[in-house]
Amino acid sequence: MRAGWGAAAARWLLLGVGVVLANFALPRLLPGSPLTAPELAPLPAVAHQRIRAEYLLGRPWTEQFVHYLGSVARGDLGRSLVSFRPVTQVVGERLPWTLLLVSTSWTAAAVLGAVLGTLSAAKGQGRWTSAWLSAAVLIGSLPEFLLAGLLILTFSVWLALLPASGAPVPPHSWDQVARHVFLPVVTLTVSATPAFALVSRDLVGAVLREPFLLTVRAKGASSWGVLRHAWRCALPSFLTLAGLRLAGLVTGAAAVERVFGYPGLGSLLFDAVLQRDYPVIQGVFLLGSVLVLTASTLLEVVARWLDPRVR
Amino acid sequence: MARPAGAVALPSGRIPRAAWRGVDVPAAGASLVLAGLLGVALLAEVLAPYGPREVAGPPLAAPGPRLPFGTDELGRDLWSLWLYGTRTSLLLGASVGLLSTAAAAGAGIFSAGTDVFARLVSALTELVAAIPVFLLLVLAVALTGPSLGALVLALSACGWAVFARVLRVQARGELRRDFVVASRALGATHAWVLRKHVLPQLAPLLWTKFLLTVRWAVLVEATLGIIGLSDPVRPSWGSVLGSGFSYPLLFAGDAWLRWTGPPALSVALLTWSCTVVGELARRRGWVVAGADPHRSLEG
Repeated sequence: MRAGWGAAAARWLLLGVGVVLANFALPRLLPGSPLTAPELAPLPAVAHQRIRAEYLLGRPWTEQFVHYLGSVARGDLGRSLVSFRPVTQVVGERLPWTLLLVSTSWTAAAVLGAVLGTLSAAKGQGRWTSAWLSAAVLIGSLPEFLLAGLLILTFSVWLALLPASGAPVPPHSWDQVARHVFLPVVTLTVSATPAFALVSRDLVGAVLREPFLLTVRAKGASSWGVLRHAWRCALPSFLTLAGLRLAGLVTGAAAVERVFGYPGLGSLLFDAVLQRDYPVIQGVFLLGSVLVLTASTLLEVVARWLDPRVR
Repeated sequence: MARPAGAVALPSGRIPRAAWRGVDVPAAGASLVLAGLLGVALLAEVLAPYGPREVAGPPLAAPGPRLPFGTDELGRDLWSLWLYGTRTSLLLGASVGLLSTAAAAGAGIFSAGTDVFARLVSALTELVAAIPVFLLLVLAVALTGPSLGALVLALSACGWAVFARVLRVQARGELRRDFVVASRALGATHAWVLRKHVLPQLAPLLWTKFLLTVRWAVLVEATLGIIGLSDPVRPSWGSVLGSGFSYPLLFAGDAWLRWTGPPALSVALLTWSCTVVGELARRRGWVVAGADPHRSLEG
């Protein structure tokens, strides 16, 4: 079922091209333009001319497309309509914060979910299992912004332990960064863990029913040894599915960053939307999509490498 | 074990302890929640003391006898905003659910017999599953302007492809069944077979897809609202959340409880109810193995 190296690379390339194409086509196909947005103050004539010149507006779209491809290949995503700084620079400043948030909470949720899922799969059916499953469904259906609000109330307002919002001013010391990152990471981790737990419960449970594990048990393996065998088979699928959850985590991160005033891509997106700064919105879309695509492809390749049945 | 003649054998071999054990408590609760929210949405005018754009008092007013939840930064009554917001959010959820379920059903069932259309669906599915659709939606809605219609169209456009592939697999399975072959042998046309034999078999699956798409759409609308993209003239849960989280002193007093509390809780309740009712359909075996509603149905 899992694709080979070449297929994974081809898929990555095709989907990457799809993202680049969408990034070119959407602003040109959909109505609405920074030049005519009614809710914004009209741009001065000089800015009009500069924007028209920069995107070759008014020229044939084939010419625009070639120009656009050249820019993307050079890593030039245009300039912000508000600050007139290069989009790569604007996005690059915020990217590390979101990377830190998403990668930490994804890893924490995957590990926590795997442990909880394994425990429940090993326990089998029972009253506790069904109570546990109901709780997982309940926590999993809480929106991230609700969890974020609850955590702010608990830890920032009532206990006054951690800052409710914002980022430390540079130069950043580790403990300051950790204090500001902690609550957003906990929010995303809590909301993502149930999905990971349910997936690993299904995967490990399915392997535990396989006949070869009966042999393992008959040879006198400890329950730890049995689970080690089960995870060797479940891990590849778990990694692939965990890679697919990354996209959902990015959505959650956008809301969480906004609620916490965390200086990542989500907050940047809010500012850019407010000012209809289209090049920045496009930059976030392009970079975010390519990064998620790359990460999930890499996970798929690792999964294939780990799979004892394919290797 | 010897059993007296004529005794009825219980199917599970266990005797139910009380009558209510037969009732699925979460499912009943979830149905009640959905019915309640639907009632609020339908009766918004009757229940709301103020209109959705009416200035009811001074900006950021504290709760009082006339304003149970106080007012927002523009002086609108937060209670009325929640009522009208429920209507908008449910309308959006139901529209996206209907549109994308219909599109997925059409694409999935009609592509069951051919391969050409399936390629396109497959490519779209891969793209939608591999990238954060949310970022795509932000870009599209920022370009079109965040009107309710644009939101519905954008969400529906992203919400049908993955499920169309699931339906196609199911429909192909149905087309190979004996009674379909028999029906064809009796002279039934392809369209007749699809309408009379395939569609009824897939109907429960469509219902689950609808519920899970409503859940997804409402949640995404709320998140888009927090990012600043919600219809400026029609208050929704997303727009109230967006203005609430923009208020710097939200957590300093009790504003969080009366401003962002009602819409956030409503989104959570709706999400949970749709999950539980959708799960019920899956547990009853309506959804065939391989079509995991958590992963493939929502969009």
